[in-house]
Amino acid sequence: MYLERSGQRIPARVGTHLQATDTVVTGADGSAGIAFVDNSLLSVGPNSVLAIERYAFNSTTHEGAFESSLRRGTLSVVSGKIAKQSPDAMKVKTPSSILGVRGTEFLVRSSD
Amino acid sequence: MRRHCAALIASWVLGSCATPSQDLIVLLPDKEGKVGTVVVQGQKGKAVLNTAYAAARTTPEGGMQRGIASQSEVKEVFGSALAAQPSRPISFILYFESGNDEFTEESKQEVRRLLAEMARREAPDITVIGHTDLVGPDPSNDALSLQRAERVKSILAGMGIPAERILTAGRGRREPLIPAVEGVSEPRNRRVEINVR
Repeated sequence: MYLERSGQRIPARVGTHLQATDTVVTGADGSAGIAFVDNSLLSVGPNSVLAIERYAFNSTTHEGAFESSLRRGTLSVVSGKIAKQSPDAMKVKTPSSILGVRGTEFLVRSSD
Repeated sequence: MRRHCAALIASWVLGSCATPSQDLIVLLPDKEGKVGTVVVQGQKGKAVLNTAYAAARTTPEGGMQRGIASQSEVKEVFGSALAAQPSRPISFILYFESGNDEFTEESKQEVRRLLAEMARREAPDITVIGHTDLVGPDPSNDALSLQRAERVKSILAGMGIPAERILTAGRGRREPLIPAVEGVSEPRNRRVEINVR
């Protein structure tokens, strides 16, 4: 797996810290799990492209915004403090759908 | 004709005329069996998922089909993604002896449990979150709780936890652990929480 950051391809390993607007790409036998500071947990299966488009979290008020886009592949989501504090602050997009999240666990597959 | 061609290319680039991706969205119960809500907005349809294993599928025409996903389908399609889920975050609560910087005896044991939990995880990050009681206004409690969190961060860093893996937060009086009356001092709410993820 690797990250795309500002057009650059960056190798990633366990413990690598992500930045908002990174894209996570997994290969045919890859997978990746990401723990966000608001306790949202995202993980992707093989052949997946997940773009973190926006991530903002105020650790005092728990207000924030979390938008990600599954361009391809499979995604599992456990929402965290952002979605708990503000319904609709968390959104997951695919090329053909937009998901509004109200505190929950769910799965998304986007296939061509 | 030429103009038309250009428009077609542009529409592919924008994706509006491209075949839409075919999505499958499945709502899961959480560890306690509770379910939340996901609202799926497709190009032509919308589905509100709010029961365990409720599923929405987009059709090639951009429509939306409701259904139920079987556990075997979930395992087959999402097994790898689910297996890659990070460990669930867990919190430890620490208290200070009143009037000094020492952890209480019980909290010293809690610190040992924290270190054991961190050792169990592959790449743990932690947030040290200060909380206050319901005495005084938000701004002073926010500052006080952050100050306590910073103090605990330096203690934990002194125990060998890499500082770059420790964030601090001051949650102020927003999250009392036990119900309390405005303005009444409640030592059990004056605490520092260590969130491991």
